[in-house]
Amino acid sequence: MTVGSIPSTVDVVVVGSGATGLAAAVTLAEGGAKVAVFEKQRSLGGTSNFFQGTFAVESEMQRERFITFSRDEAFRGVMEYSHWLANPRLVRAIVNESGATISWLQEQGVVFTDATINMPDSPRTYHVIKGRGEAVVKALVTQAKSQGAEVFSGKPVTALLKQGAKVRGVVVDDDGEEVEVAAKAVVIATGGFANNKEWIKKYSGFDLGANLIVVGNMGKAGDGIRMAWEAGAAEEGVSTLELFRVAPVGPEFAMGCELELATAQPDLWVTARGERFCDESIGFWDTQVGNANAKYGKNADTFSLFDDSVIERVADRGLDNNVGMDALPGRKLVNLRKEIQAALENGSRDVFAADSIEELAGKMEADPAVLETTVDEYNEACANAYDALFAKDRKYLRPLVGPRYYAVRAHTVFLGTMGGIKVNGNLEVLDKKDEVIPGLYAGGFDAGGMYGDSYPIKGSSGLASAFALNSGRIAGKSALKYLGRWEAL
Amino acid sequence: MPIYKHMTKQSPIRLTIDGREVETRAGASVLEAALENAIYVPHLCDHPDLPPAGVCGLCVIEIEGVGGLPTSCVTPVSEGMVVRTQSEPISRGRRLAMELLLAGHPVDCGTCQKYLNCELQSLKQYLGVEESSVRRRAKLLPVDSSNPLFIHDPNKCVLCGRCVRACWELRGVGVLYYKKRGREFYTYTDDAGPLAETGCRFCGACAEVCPTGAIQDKQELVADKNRKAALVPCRGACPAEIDVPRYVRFIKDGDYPAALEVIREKVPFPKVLGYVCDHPCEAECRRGEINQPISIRELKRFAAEHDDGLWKQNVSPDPPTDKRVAVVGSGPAGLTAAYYLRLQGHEVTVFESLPEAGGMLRYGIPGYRLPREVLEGEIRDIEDMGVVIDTGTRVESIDELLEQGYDAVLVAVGAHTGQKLVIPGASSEGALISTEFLRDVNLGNDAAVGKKVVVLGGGNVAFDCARVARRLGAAEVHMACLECRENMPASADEIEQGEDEGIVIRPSHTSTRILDRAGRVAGVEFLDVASFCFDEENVPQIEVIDGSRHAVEADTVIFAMGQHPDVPEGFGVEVTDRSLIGADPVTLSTNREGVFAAGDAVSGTASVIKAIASGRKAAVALDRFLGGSGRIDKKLAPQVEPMPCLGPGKGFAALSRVAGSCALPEDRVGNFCTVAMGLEEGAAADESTRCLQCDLRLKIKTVEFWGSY
Repeated sequence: MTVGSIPSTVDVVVVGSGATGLAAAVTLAEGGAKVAVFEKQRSLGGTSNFFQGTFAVESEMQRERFITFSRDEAFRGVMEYSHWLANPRLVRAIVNESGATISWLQEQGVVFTDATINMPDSPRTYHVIKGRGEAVVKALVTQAKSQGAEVFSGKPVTALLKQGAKVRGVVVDDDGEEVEVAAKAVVIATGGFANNKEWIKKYSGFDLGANLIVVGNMGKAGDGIRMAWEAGAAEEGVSTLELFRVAPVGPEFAMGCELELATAQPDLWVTARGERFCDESIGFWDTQVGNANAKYGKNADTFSLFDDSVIERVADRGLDNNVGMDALPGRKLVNLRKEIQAALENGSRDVFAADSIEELAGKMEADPAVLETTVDEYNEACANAYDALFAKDRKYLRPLVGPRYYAVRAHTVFLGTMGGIKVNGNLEVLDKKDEVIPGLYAGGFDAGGMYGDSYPIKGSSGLASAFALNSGRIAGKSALKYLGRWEAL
Repeated sequence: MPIYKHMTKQSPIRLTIDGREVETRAGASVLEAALENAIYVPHLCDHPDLPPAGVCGLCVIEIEGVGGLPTSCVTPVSEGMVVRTQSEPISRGRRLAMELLLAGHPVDCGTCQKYLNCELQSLKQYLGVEESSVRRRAKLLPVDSSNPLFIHDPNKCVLCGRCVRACWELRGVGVLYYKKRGREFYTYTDDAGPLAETGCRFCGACAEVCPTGAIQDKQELVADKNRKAALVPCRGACPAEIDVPRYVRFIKDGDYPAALEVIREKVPFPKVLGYVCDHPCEAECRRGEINQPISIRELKRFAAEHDDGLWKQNVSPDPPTDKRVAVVGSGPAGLTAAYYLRLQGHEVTVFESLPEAGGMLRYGIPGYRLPREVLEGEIRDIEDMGVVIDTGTRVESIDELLEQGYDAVLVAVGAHTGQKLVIPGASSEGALISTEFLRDVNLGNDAAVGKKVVVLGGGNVAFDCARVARRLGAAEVHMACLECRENMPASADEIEQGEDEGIVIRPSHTSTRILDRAGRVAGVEFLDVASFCFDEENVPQIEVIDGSRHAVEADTVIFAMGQHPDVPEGFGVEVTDRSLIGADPVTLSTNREGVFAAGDAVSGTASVIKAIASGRKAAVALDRFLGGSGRIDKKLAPQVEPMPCLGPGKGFAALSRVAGSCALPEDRVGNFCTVAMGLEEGAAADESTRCLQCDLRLKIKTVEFWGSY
C-alpha cells in the first residue's frame, strides 16, 4: 500500500492534522524530531480547511502596507475584550509569534494575497490566504512529509500513556485494533468538541442540533480534551463557543447561498414573538450577532425580514455586510428570487413569503399584532432617520414597504468550541496544581485561555486560525526544547 | 475495450513512471500501476472494485510517444511505457476537470455530513482549485429523504457514475440510472419511484462508493457510531459479537452446520439462545427500516436444530497449563467462561449451590420457554470438553477456594435474590417473591398459587411469573407495572404471548398497599401513574393521578421488581451499594488479585446474551491473568468469500418477516410444553433470503486519499 505501518516508537506524536497539529509537526520535523501525526478522519485538515485568512501583527506584509497596528495594541485589545479573563502570558505569546508565523508559512509554500480586514472599524490584521485553509493544509502536509514526518489518516488516538508524571506515548485505534506508540512528547490538537451533544449541553447549555447548529466541524467528540483530562490536565475556558448567526440552514440551502447573504444584511430582524432584538448592523461582527441571537434564540428561532425593495437593492447595489471573503461588500445577488422560489416550492420550513405582515406573521407563527407594531415602529424610525430603540446607524434604516414580504428563519451557529485544556504560554499542559505535565502539549480548539466568554472578532479578526497556527508552532518549539533539540537548531 | 480488474495471470509488465521503473501485472491500467507503486494520481470516477469509466478527467497523464493527455484509468499498461504524472499541461487539465466537477456542486462542506470522508473535498484540497474559471451554478434540486436508509441529494452528484456501476456491475441489481431534470443530470431510479418499488436490495453499495454526499446513509443510523457497527448493526448490537450476516447467509445457502459453527465461534449456547435470546440484533436490523427486521433468533434456533455435531472435531482443549480455575455459579456467564478457559488449557471446576447446573436458565426461565433437554444438551457439550461441574456445593468464601489451590476465581453467582416493595401488607401470607417462586417451581417444590394472581413488575421475569401462575391453575392473572405500555421492559413476544394466554396487563400502575384479610393476601391497591421516569441520579420519579385509587382482588401477589446476588456473609469480595459485586467494567477484576466477577452478579438482572458476553470477557481476562493469550475466538465455519453479486431484486423489499408459530393458547396454558415452534426449512430459507447482507458493503475497498501517499 501507500503509507508505512504505524511506528512503535517516535519522538513526538501529534494528535490531529488541523492547523495546530500540522504547524507543530512541521516545526518538530524541521528540528529533526521523529514525528507521527494521527488523524481520525479520512481527509486531513479538519476545520482548518475553511479559514480564509489569519490574524497577525507586525508581519512583513503589514510593514509593506504601512499598517502600524502593534503587538502591544493587539495584546491589550484581546485582554480588554476578555476583561482579563484570558491568560495574559498565553495571549502575549500568541500575539508576539504571529507576525513571524506569516513569513514561516510563506516559506512552507502558503501564498497570502493581502493583509487587510473583513469588517468595518477594525485593525488590518487579516492575512488572506490564496486557496483558503485547504492550501495551508496541503502545504504543511507536503512539508511535514518531505521533512520525514509520517501522517496517518483514519487512525484515531484513543488514550494517552503515562509513566509516573511523564507522558510516554499514546494508544492508536488501527482499524479496530489497539496499537501502542511510544513517544517522549505528545501534542494534542484534535479541534475541540463541537459535535459532542452531551458536553455542549453540559458546558454551554445549548441543545446541539436544536438551538445551536455546528458548522465546519465533523466528528469532534472532544477526544484530545478527554485524554488530557484523564491524564490529569486542568480545565480552562471549556464553555466558550465561536458563535454567529445564519439564516437559513438545512440540507436544501448551500452555505454561502444568496439567501444567506441577503438575510445577513442589516434590515429588520425579529424574535419568534415578532420583536426586534438588536441593532441589525452588529451583523458585521459575528460574535456580537451570535451572542445577540443566542440570547433570544435559545428557546426559539429568530427571523430576518425583508421585502421586494431589499431584493432589488441587493441586486442593484449589492451587499452592505459581507459574508466571509467570497461575498464582499458590493457583491450583487442575482439568483435571490430563484432561490426563494425553489425554497417555497420545496416546502421549506425556513423561508416564508406573504402579501402582508399579518399573513407573514401567521406563517412564522409569530403574534401578528406584535409583528405589525414592530414593522410600523421600524418604518417610522426609518422615516425619522433615527432608531430610538437600538441606535442603528441611519444609513441602514430602510423601510419595508412590500408588496411581498419575506421571513427567513435564523439559527445560532458556531464554528467551534474554544477551550478545554489548561496550558501556559509555552503551550505546556498544566495539571490542577498548575504544574507542567512533562511531555504534554495542547493547542488550537483543545486549549483554553486565549479568550474570555466570547471570541474577540472585532479587534482581532482571524484569531482562531492564528491561535491554531501559532499555538502549534510554539508547542512544537517547546517540545523540541524538552527533547533537547531546540539549542541544536 | 474496457479493462477489467484482476485479469488472468500473465508475466509482469515493466514501465517507467516519473522516472521510476515499476512493475505491474498485464491488463492493469496506468492508474493502477501508479497507485500500486505509491505514486499518487488524482482520480474520482475510478474505483478499485468497479470497471473503469474514464469520465471525470482527473487522472490524466502524459505518455512518451502518445499525443495529448491520456486518461490513466482507461489506458492499459504496456511493456516499456514511459509515463509522467506531473507537468504543467497535466495540472491545467486536472484543474479544468476539477472546476467542471465543482461548478454545479454546492459549496456547503461546512454543513455536509460527508465532510472529511469526501473524496471530492480531498481532491479539491490536493488540486488547490478555488477560484473557478467556469461559471458556478446552483442546481436547486430537491433532496430526497423519503427512502429508508439513504438520502439522495442530487445537488451533490458529480456524475462519476460509480453508484450506477456498483448497482449494475458489482451487485447485478440494476435499479440506478442517469436522470435529467431541467438542464441538470443526476442518478436515481428509472421512473423516479421509491427504491423499495424498483427492486433495490438496499445493499448500500451505491452509498459506499459515492465519492461525495450525493448518496449518504441517514444520519440517525450512522452519526457518532463506529462505522462497522453502524453498517452491520446486528453484529454490532450483539453483546457476544456473533457474526449474524455470515450465519444467515449459510442458512440461505443451505449449509446449516456451517451456520451453527459461525454461532459457536462466539458462544457455547447457540440453541439456548435460539429459544430465549432477547435479540438486541433485531431491534437494530436495517431491514427493520424497510419493513420488518429479520427473525434472527428463529434462524439461530433453526441452525442449532440442524447441528451435525461435526464442529466438535475442531474444538479441543489446548495442552494443559497446570493452572486451576474455580468458577462460582453455573449460569450462562459461569459456564461460558468455564468453557473458554477449559479450551485455553486450564483445569476448570464450576461450583453450583443448587442441585443442577444452569443457573437462571434452569431456575429462572420456565420450561415452556426453554425445554430442559435443550439446556442439558448444551451443558453436556461443555462438560464433554472437560469442565467439571460440582453441583449442590455452596461456596461460602473465596478463601476456601484459594486454600484449595485454585490459581484464579470467577464469581458468577447471578442475581437470585428478589425483593418486595416496602408497602403495607407486603408480608401477608400469599405475597411471594419472583425468584423464590420460580425457583420452587423449577425445583419441583410445592408452589401453589391462588385463583387470582397479581404480578407486580413489567419485565421478562414478571411475565415468567405470570405465565407460570396460569400454568399452575390461576384463573385470572394481572400484571401491573409503573411503565406505560410502550416502555414496558419485557420483550414484545413475551407481552404478546402473555396476553394470548389471558394475562391482563395494567401499565402505568403503582401499588400502594397489599390488602389483606386475616393476614392473607386479599388484593392490591393501586394508583394510576401519570408519568414515570428516572432523574439524573437514577432515582425513580413517579407522578400519580389524584383520585385514581382502586383495588384489584387477588389471593396471590408476586413481586417481580429487581434482583441482586446472594452473596454469603464474609464471602470476600467487595459488594457495591446496589448490592452487586464490584468489578472493573473492562477487566472484570474485583478488589482481590486473581478474583474476577461476571454476569448478573456484576450488572444486576440483564439478559442471557449479556451474561454469555460477560462470561467471554471474563474468560479473556482470566486467561491473560493466568499467562495465556486471551484469544478465545475460534475459527470453526468454512471461510467462504460471499458473492458480491446479488442479482435483480424485484419484490425483495416487500418480502415480509417469517416468524415461528406458537402452540395455541388453549393448548399451552395447562402445561409446561414448549410454546414457540421454530421455523420449518422452507420458512428459514425464505427468512434468510430477506437479509440485506449489509456485511457485503464492508468488503468494498476504501479509496485512499492523497494524504496517504
